[in-house]
Amino acid sequence: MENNKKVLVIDDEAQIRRVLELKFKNRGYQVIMAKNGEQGFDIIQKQKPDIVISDINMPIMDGKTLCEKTNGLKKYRSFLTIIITARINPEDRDWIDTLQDTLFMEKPFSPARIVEAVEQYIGGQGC
Amino acid sequence: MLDLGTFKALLSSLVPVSRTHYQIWGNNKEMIFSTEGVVYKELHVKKCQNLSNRITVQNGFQYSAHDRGNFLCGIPLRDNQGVFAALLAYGKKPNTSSRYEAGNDTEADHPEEMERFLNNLKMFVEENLTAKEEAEELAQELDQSFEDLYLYGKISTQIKMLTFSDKMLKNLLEELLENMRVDAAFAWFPDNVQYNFKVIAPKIYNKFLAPESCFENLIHLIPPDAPILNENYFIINDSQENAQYKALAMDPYRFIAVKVQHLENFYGWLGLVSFDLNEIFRQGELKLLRSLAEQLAGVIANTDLYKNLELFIINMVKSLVFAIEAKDVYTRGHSERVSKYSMLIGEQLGLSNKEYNNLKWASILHDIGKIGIPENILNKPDRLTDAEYAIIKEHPRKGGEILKPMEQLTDSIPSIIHHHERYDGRGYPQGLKGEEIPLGARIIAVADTFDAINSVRPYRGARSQEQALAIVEEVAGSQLDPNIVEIFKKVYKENLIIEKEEKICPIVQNTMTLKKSVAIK
Repeated sequence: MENNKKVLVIDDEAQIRRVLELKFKNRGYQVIMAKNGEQGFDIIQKQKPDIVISDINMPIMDGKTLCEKTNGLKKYRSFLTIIITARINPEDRDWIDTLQDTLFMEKPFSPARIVEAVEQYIGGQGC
Repeated sequence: MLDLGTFKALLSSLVPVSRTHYQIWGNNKEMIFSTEGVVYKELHVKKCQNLSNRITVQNGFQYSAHDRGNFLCGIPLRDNQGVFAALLAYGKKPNTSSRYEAGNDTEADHPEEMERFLNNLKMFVEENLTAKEEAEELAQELDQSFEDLYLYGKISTQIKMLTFSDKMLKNLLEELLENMRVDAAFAWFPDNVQYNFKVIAPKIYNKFLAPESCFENLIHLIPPDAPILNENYFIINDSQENAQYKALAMDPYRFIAVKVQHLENFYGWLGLVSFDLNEIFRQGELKLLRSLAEQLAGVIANTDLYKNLELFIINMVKSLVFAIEAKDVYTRGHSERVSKYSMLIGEQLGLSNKEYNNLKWASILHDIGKIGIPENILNKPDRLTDAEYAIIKEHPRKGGEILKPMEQLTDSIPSIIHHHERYDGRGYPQGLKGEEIPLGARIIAVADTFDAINSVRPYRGARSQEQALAIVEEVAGSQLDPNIVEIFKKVYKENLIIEKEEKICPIVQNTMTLKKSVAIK
């Protein structure tokens, strides 16, 4: 069950963090959590997670700013970003398309589907 | 298995300070953990095993003293299902002389001390585990409610579509099958068998003894006096509990069905089947399914209302048409025939469903504006005066005005207003030209011209169909759209020539076919 992959969950809602934490821990991932984009960005730089799951609407630093910042990091190190957001408008969709290795899932999301997407990505990397 | 990680670490750190070793033994007589590494004397292991057995059986603290001040004792560890392990401690009893210095303890107190100590340890681990377990359970529930919410969101989007359709129902069932992790999802509507659908995971298809009728059977076996039917659902969490249900499939399964019902109208059932008996249908799932069934019933009811409304409008329109045709003795049945020809042309053109429906309304109603024209002008055998002709020419525009308040007919109105336009632009009311004239109007113009020539008019007798067709061909390009005329010729050869000998088709018969075609849609 153990695998050496790190998942970072960034959301200001505790229950969303909790549900994803459980889901990934049970599958042997190491799970790190952050409550806003700023905390998240710090962790991304220091702990280099393999998967980042982030909300859009958050205090201090929102998910959009975070994604813009982390997209630059992806030049040097690839990792998957999954954006979870309540409503997605066409402009946001286009914006997500411009980001590297980035998916979105609409809220309410299915935790099982997020795990599926992550495992597909990891499988695709040949790890 | 429970995660004893932190507890094991605590025990290990206690060894040097308490000069005691610890072991944890599972219920199936095997050691789960020991602070002493892996090298033991076999005899010692045997002793520990025996003691752990005794602890489990007696469900309480056990102590045994051995030679040279050695002791072995233990206490059961419990979770909410009972004893799951034994915690053992062993070592040499503490040096008596130093103990006397400390106070009034005697050697005989040692078992009691150990019991107190182990009891505290045990409480620590048990509380910890229970809390962990509860947190885990809560998190699982949270996870489940996230899944439910997701499913609900997805499915209500499907359901929000205005009308009930096969496709929507099929999508709904597929979503249910996938997201509720069941093996079959089905809809059973006894009075509308065309809506019956099932989605089955292929692996279970052969598990039912009569796969074709299994869902029908599942529903029919629901006892009509089952108390939960008052709650509009039925559930069997293990088919082995019921002989009749058991007989339907080779393997045990669980089954849930909820009524699709809106107010007093019962439509049918929505059901799920699963062969995975490790799970049950949860309250959350039942709630979800019931709410889906309710929404589905609402949609069906709306669709029914919509159909009724459509039928009502059709009948209204027909009475309007009869009303004008009653005034004009020469045009009886004309609208029905123009409609019939227009429909044939429309079919040949491959119109979309919407265009076809708009044409249906426009063609049957194209002369509705004549309702405002005095009968003496309509039925006048002599040549009309300019003033009278001007009144006649008003009828397409008037028709549009009459129908304007009927929202459902909005898209048909342009074809009515412009059915007397000419392809060369010399028609009325607006003098539109060529493709400027709505397609529906160009179609109706061909059908209208053909039928007018083919019928008796106040000022002349009827011409034959061949003559009428010849005239239509002559005016193609000037009065009529030549492309539509070409298509009409084709339609005429394929369909109408056979009916040549028949008299004007009876209105009643046409009405019937119209009704039918609407009911099927």
